[in-house]
Amino acid sequence: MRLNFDNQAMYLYFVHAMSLLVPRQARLDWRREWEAEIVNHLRVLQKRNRLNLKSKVDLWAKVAGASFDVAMFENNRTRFVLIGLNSLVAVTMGSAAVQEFSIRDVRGGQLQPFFLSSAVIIVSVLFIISAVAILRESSAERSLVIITGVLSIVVHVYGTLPPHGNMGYLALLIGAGYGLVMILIYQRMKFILLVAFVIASPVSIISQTPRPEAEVLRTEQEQREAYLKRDIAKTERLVADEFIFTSGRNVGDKASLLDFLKTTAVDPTLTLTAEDTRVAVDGDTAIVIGRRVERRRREDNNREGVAYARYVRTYIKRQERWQLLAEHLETIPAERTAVKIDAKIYDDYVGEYESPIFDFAVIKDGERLMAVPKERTTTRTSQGRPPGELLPESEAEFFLRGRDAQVIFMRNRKGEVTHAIMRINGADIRATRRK
Amino acid sequence: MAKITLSLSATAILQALAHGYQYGFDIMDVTGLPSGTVYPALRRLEKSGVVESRWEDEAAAHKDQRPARKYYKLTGAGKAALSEAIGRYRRLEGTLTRKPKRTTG
Repeated sequence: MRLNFDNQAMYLYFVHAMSLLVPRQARLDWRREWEAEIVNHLRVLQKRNRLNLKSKVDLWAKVAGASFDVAMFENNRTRFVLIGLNSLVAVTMGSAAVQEFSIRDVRGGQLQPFFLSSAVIIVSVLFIISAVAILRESSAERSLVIITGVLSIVVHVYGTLPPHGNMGYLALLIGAGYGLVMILIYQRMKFILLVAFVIASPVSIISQTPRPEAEVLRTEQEQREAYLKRDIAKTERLVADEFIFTSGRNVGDKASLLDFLKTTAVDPTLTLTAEDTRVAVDGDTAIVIGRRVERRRREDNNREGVAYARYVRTYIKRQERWQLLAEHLETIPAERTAVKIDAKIYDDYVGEYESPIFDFAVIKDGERLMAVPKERTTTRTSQGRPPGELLPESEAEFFLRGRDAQVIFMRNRKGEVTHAIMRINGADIRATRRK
Repeated sequence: MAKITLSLSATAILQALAHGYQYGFDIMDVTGLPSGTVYPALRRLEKSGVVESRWEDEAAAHKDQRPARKYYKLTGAGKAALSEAIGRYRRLEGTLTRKPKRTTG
């Protein structure tokens, strides 16, 4: 008697899937026994003409027990726990690292967090590969688990260390703690000793490193995140009620900061990073100086713009938490680097340009390209502006040293230079070429 | 061999085997135990030497156009363990059906 394929296929698929969880040496026998029971049972039901919904449900109840049967295999419980935990840790670590990587590191352009996030992503992938290796009882299972465990411990201990302190203690506990558990389960004494050594050395560094500096820097990082996400509740916690700030002509307080966060939308293209930070702590007071790098895409041309500012912040510690008390922020011109280009192209740019604020001539002075401001009869004059060298950033983009000023030469379809964009203090002004 | 103390479900499975029920689904039907209990128990009992298994003759099964089954049967140790377990449960039954002596007011 031949069985209808549809009748038995689903049961057999289920058993086949379950068999993948059976230890390899017993897998074939286990699957064969279950398949034989199912096929024989269906055969008897069909023969007796009793293959109905009730008997099918009853058979499903029997077949479902295969999952319990699999779980009861010796050593399988530990394996399942390891596979589950590996996947959980990989997803938790990996998603956080991918977020860091895509939001802050790539757009923020900072090297240290970039490498750390990349390392965490690699470790997360290794956790998944280890889980698959445990599941498949691969010959490389033990080596993979131990390598993953050691790497996870190293990466998390490094990530928690000052001065960067990119990771919190929870991440250290999950990443390094679970890495250690994996190694202990796979019982390799020499690796345990190696891991103990790897942990012991940074821990001794942590114990010798002053903690408040790292705490203050972490508070700074949290504040930047709250600012970017317009997180009012978090900002309220991190900023003292007496907070005051100055920036250029502006002065403000906590209320004006919160009001700004409430009334302005999140800019998904904006990133804020801090460079050259220095922290001085005296008791419950800390001063941080640093350079803020603000990157965002311009709405009109989708080009990324960068703005730099120097800041001084004062923090106070209240109820075991650092709070921002005062801030002074001063914008600084972007640092630009001149590149070497063929001076022949300068001939294309030589001419006279007119803009709403002042006119200028572009001339060649040997191998140099110069911008020479021109007198004008209107009330707005360029009087007093000295000629400046236009230093190339690319074939069409130039900048003036010591000033936040850029000149970008624009061409028409025929390739003729028709005008220039002057970007002064972040604002674009069009200058039309007259000659 | 160390003395084996059988659980109630293991005793039921051995009792089924003693009465000629030889394979997993059959044992489930007669004992009312779920497959998640019967199969792990059979594996455990086989490992402790009270049960042994054999595959049905392939040629016979093939002739019948069906896959060969795995059959289980009691070993000598299994028979002894079963008889000891039945005795124990009977004694327990006797104890439980007697009226308890009152020790306090």
